[in-house]
Amino acid sequence: MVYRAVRACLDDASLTMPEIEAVVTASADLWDGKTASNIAITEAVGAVMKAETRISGDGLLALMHGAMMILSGHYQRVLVVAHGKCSEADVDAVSNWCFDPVYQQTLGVTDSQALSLQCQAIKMRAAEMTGEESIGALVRAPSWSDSCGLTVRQGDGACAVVIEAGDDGIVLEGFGYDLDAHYLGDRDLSRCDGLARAAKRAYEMAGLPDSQTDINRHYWSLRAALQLPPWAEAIGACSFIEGLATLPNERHQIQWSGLPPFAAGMQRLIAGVKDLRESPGSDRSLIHGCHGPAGQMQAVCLLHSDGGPC
Amino acid sequence: MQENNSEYLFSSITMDLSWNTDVGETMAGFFQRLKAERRLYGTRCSNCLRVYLPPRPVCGNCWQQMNDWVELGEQGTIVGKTVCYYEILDSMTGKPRTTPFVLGLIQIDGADTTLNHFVETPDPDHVSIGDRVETVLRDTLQGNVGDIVHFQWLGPPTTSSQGSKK
Repeated sequence: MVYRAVRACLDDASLTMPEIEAVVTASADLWDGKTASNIAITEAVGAVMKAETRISGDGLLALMHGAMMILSGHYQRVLVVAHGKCSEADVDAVSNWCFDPVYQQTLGVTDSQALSLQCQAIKMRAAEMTGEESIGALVRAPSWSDSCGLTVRQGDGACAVVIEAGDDGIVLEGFGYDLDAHYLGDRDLSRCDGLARAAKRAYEMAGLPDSQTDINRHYWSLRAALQLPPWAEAIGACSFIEGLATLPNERHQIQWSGLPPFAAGMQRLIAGVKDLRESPGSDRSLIHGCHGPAGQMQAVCLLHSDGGPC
Repeated sequence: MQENNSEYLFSSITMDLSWNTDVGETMAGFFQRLKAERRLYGTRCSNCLRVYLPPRPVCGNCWQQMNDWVELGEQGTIVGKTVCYYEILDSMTGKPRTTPFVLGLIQIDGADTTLNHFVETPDPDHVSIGDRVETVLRDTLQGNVGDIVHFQWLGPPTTSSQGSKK
């Protein structure tokens, strides 16, 4: 699976493996059932005798690590690979083990329970702000009405991209990430302050204002549809209530068919790049990634295309 | 002065996690061939001709997918060894392994890489690098790594026991 992704990536970029200077991978030990989940893919990603780094988190963090390697001036071209294989693990059992070992883990809290608590918090916030007990009463878009109770399935997958120094084609013009509090009770789960801080860092790096109207498309790594209104609010795309009423729309791209954990952000990145390639003029997209219970870690990348060939 | 009645408090956790790890097409091919033919097979890179054992799907040096299977010999050479005097649990039996025992890096005839495995010998202190060993498989093969029980020490190489080198 990983080799096929890397092969497709290099073919797409018309590159050979010797032209790659360094490799950054993203994966999670617990999900893979290995104490170093990159050991099984060293050959597949071409990392033998190369500068290789592994990030235990969403693939967008690996992309940022690769970008920082290039910004350091020591590398010109970096391969970034992310994979997730939750089909081999008991996701609830594994995600319980990700919680702190003294309190939340002992209670048996799982990732899906955290997600459910977050969705309930979002519904309560909507009710408090509008007086409406039902989300459905706030929704204007029929398609949103049908899907706002959905969760996005987690599956297996691998993604690979090559990034290199330069300012032609599609440019990674900004990125930011943020880790919110681990304890679910330390956060207002109906908001996403971590995402707001991550987006702010990305906007500052790109020289953009915090309230965004220049971004044409947003590619989301959602776990549940109800996360979209507060998360769109966090990146400055709309208000919470406006988001509840009007989202999703063509500006907000969601992969309803499923996303692989830890490769999700990279999958969204590839989707964004493919759309930018087909965009005739100047265009800008926001890529979102996250991992952790109820989206504890948030990451944002900004892509810009001048419409030229890439 | 206040008496210190503090005590350590612990949170006891028992891990109960299990995974079903896909062995992958290549290791599945290895186990299937081992079970069907009682033979070890490696994969060969069509670029550098290196033969990998355990077989790997991709050559790490050439980043080339490997689809050529190579039948390997029953014997091999010890190219690295250590004698262990500290008792460990044998992961294949769950029981302590009698000490001392020899853990060796075995280059099976026809392979370029080595397998790490146990070397069965009456005298661990007399096992030397360069000595010859023979693969010992269990009677009823199951198609997993436990099929290789150990490598039996044969002694220093003789003209007749030298494996064919590529």
